[in-house]
Parts: sequence; structure tokens; C-alpha cells
Amino acid sequence: MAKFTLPKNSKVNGKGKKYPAAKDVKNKKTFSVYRWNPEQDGNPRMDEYEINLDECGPMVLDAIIHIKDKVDSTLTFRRSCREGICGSCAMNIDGRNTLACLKPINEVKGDVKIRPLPHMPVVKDLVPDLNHAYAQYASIEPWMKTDSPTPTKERLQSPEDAQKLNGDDGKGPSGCILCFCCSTSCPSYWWNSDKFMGPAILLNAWRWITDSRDEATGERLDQLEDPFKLYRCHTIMNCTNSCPKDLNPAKSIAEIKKLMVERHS
Amino acid sequence: MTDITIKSKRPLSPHLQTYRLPYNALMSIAGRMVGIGLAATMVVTCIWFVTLVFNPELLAKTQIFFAFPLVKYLALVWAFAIFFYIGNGIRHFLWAIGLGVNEKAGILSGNIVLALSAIATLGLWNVTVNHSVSSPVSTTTVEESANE
Repeated sequence: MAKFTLPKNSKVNGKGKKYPAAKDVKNKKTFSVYRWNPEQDGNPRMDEYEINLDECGPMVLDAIIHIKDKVDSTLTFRRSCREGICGSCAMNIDGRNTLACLKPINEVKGDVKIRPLPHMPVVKDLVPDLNHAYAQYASIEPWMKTDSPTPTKERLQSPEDAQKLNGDDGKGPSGCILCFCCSTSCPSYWWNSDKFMGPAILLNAWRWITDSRDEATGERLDQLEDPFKLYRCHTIMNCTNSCPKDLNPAKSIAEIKKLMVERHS
Repeated sequence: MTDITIKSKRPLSPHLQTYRLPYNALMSIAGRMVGIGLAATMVVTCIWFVTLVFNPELLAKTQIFFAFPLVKYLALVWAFAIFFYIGNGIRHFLWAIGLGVNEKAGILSGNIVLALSAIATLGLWNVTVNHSVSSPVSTTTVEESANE
């Protein structure tokens, strides 16, 4: 059931720490960052860091790394590639989910508010627990399944069939980096993540369903034919709005729904 | 390995409290709210209709009620809600057959639904309330508006 409010232990405490910039700094911006430490008592809080923008790179991730290096080494977050390929630094910036490494600081008006991906258990600071989402990913068996004898060479695919995966603009379902910006932006996933697969997983399910080399389409559709797994999607389209790779999970889900109807008729 | 003392249970990260909902999400929520509102008012309206059948004197009383300009405007809001709900339903139907499932098309179709609902409501206003909003419902008003 939908629970619109946060549990008692999760309400954000207004009184966070403040780290002001030096007085002579002119080009500065405040970063308000969600903090929670499992080794300390108490609720999460928002700490405010005033950063000299002349000392740090253009992206929000640059600012977070700057904070960790120069201001407060206790700040915890995930990051790796810093160029939108690994999906590690997915977080909620300025009220929307995106990758910190792809989000320019100057796109944010006023203070930059940074929180972990929404409606997830927090491991520490900006690190959400993604175990459940990964388990859901495993449940769709995201690998090629075939019954036909293994050919001696690789299984070939026509350019048209490959385009179904890559998209004519390079933004097809195979472009997903599993950052979970979409799933954690979806109200349906917030209220029903125990049963609803969420846009990231359904996009990947579609990636295998539409793969001309995969031979388990029927089995995959059987697995998703369920009031919750697929049909909790109500086309709110927060997923498409938030995808930092500009993919369209809503469209993938619509395609799965269409196939469901087609195979019943 | 260091010893970690877990002192408190993992909190749930903020969601509805902090998410800046985009246009299509706001339209979706509006659709839900309007749906709930319409379902509730539809029940009241049905009860009213059925009561009228068994209790004709009630008609005069409700006519006085509906003569208040504010009530008329509320009825128009209700009409707008109905048009909006129908339009939104068609929008969802198009999505179900895979048409316009992307952000730009969602904004476009949403704006079309809002605009058409407004036009339909204005049209309804023109043929109904506009003719009788300033005077109470009576036979003379009906004659007057017929003469216009």
C-alpha cells in the first residue's frame, strides 16, 4: 500500500552542520547534502557546504568529490567513471534523479540539494541499498536464452533487428546502464516495489524480448503476465523524464503491454 | 576489518516529499484526484436523481439551490472535470496502443486535453449558465431567454 509519509526514523532533521566558505570567496554556491551514518544515533540531516566554484569542476559530482577531498572526508557516495557510463553516481539532485557526473552545477538555481535515490533504504549518506532492484533484475534472467543448437559462429542479426536494441538514435533499450534513476523516480515503484518490477527492469525485459536472437519470448512474457510485475505501470512517465541516458522506459513497457494483448488475440 | 556498530535501522530516503514532479506526473495525479472526485459526486448525483423520483417537491428546493451563481460555477467546474477525465482516458487509450509514449508527446496531448476541456466547458457555459446566471430559475426567465 502507498504510504505517502516517511517512517519516524527517516524524517530529515532540520539541524544539519554548516561548512561556510572562506570570507573572501565570491563565486560560491551552497550544496545541501543528505547525511545519515549507521554508526551514529539519530535521523538523517541535511549538511550545508559552501563551495568555491572556482576551485571545482563544472559538474555536481565534481563538487561532491571536492567536498570529500577538501571539506568533509566523511561524506559517502558512489562514483566511478565520471562520464555517464557506469551509473554509479545516480542520486536525486534538485528534486530530480540523475547522474551527478552529467548534471552541470549551473543548471541548478539556488542551493543544490542532493539526496539519495528516492524511496530506498539508505546504507549511508548518498548510498542507497540496491540489492532488491538487482534481485529483480536477476529474476528476468537477463541473458540470451536459446533452444536451437549452438552455431559454430556467433548468432547473427540483421541491422534492422540490431536497431530494435540500439535504437535508430542510439537510445534503444540496450543503452541502459542500470543506474536506477528511472525506477526510483516512479511513484508506482515507490508504493509497490515489492511486487512491481519498475521501469529499469521492464526496459531490460523488453531488451531481451525484442532481441531477434533470443528464443524465450513466450517464457519471458509468461513471467511478466501479472497484475503487479508489469501492470502497475500507469504511464506516469517519470522514468523517461529522469533517464540520464535519454532512454524511454515508458515506451518499452508500452511495447510489452502491446505484445501481451497481441498474443491473447 | 573494522568493527561497525550499527546503531539505528536504515532510513527510507525521501520520495514524494522532495521529488520535483514533472508535467506528466502532475497530470497523472490530477487525473487520479479528478477520478476520485467524480466518483464521489456521481454517487451524490445519483442519490439526488433517485430521491427526485420519489419526492418531487424536492425539485423546487434544489432549483433554489442551483440558482445561486456560485453553485452554477461549481457545476461548471464539475463539467470541466468530466471533460478532462474523458480526454485523459482517451490519452491513456492511445498510450495503451503505443501512441505518443514519450515526454514531448505526453506534454502535447496533455495540453490538448486541457484546452479541449476548457473549450467544451466554455461552450457548455454559453448554452446554459450564461442565459440564466443573473436571475433565479423561473418560467419568466425561460421565456425571456427564449425571446432573446
